[in-house]
Amino acid sequence: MGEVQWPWQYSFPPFFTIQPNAETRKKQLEAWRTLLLEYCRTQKVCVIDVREGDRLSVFNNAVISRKLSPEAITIVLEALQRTGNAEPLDKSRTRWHVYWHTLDEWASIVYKWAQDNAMLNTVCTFYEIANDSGDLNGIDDGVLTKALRVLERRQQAEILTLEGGSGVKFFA
Amino acid sequence: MDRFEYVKPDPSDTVLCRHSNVTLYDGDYKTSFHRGNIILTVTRLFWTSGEAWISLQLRYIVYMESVVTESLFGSKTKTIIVHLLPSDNKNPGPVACAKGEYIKLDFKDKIPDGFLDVFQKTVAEKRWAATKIPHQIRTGIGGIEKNIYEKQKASDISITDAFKDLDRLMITAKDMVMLSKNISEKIKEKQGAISDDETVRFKSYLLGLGVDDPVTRSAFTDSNAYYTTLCKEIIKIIKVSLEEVGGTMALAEVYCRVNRARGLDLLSPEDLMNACYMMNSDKSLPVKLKKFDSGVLALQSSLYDESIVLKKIVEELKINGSLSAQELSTSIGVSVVLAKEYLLSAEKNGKSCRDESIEGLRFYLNKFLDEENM
Repeated sequence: MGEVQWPWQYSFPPFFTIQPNAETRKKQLEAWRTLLLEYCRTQKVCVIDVREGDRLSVFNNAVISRKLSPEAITIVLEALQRTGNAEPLDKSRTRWHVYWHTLDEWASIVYKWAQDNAMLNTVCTFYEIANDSGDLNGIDDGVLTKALRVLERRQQAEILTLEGGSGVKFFA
Repeated sequence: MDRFEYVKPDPSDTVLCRHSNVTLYDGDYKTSFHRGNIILTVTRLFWTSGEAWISLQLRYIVYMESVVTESLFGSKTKTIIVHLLPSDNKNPGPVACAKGEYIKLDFKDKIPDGFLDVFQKTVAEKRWAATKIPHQIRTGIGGIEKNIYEKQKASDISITDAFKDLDRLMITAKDMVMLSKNISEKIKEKQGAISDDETVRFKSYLLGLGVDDPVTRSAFTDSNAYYTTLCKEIIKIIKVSLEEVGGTMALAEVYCRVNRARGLDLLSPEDLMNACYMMNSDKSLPVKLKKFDSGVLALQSSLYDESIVLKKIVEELKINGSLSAQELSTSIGVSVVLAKEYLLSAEKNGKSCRDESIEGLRFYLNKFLDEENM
């Protein structure tokens, strides 16, 4: 996990206040979306708890002593949800899955991985998928399951329950 | 002795004591009032001999003392010295000009037993003061009503008294206003000769001062007409300074300026506000009342151009990087309330964006929208 390349907005104090002006807010949330997805991708963060948001450096810039409040984090995540990049895990919307690829994209990536590694028509474990050196490295089990469910709907895979973990069989 | 007057006792007076063979002294000098009778009542001391009656009001008496007289046959106390206040007696009396500030009562043999005590007690009681105010005991509702009425009358008189001074002040104030007007006119004439900074400022003070004929409520029977006229007066007073400060002035500041110009006959905030509401009903007036989204009321010149103010705010933001309402108000010389309104309107127009933190609300240039220009 390398250092995050912070964009200029990260050291711009108003970035940490949700802007009331609609047009400004739109730009602001776009910037947040880009930053947060990039952050999650490089830092392999899949689950964000709104209440503990300030533990993530992305929401807490100690240099300019600005934090994104839990309410504001929710607003940012809701913006991500609209593009399919986030999904609340509970009704109170405090825990969220963040997808730096949308689930559709993930599904395609996983299937492509299976094709490239000649895994079609064989069973492989989640561990194998998540420990690949490529894009799939470190993928969260929950996110992977959801991606595989997409493949199931496409009838390209089937999730199997194995001893000591889950596995998947890809169809050609 | 000049405190004495020719007065006979009133039959209704209570005689406290009576003694004979008393000679009066004016200071240390013996008078012609020799061996007469003295009568003491609660308010007066009388001396009489035959048909002659003279009397001294007890209110003149400061204090009295008995004097021991030494003689061949031993010492006797037969004289009382009575010290008196200065005379304000206007009634005819036996002596026009006194020889001393005290008199003596000289008894032939000795001061009768108890006389001095009674005399001192009577003076100390000051019954004459008490009898002056009719002390009536009233009972029932009638009495209470009468008391209330009297109290009202007394306070009425004192209020009228108090405001008499104010009236005089108002008359003088008109002269002062005239004077200030004269000065400001003279300065106007000599405008070319004066260039000094302070003089200019002084001039602006004077020009801002003085309304020849303030609009007052008493001149109108109809409050609508009053407000309309008042509204015109306010515009006249405020117009120049309004343009100086950039076209917008918060109502609180308007209030201060208008009342400073009036000097006296001050306006109530309510009257001012009502008069300002009239501005929006007449389209031709050069000043309008504007209500900001936050509820702040301000007067705005029709020459006011929002884009000019916005440009100014953006410039200030560029210079300072970020601004709080407080900082903007000091740097462009408007009130904090207005500065905040300016910043909010800049935000509304996408020129600025806010940073809310524990340090308060600050505004920055809107880099989100101007990203391309950065």
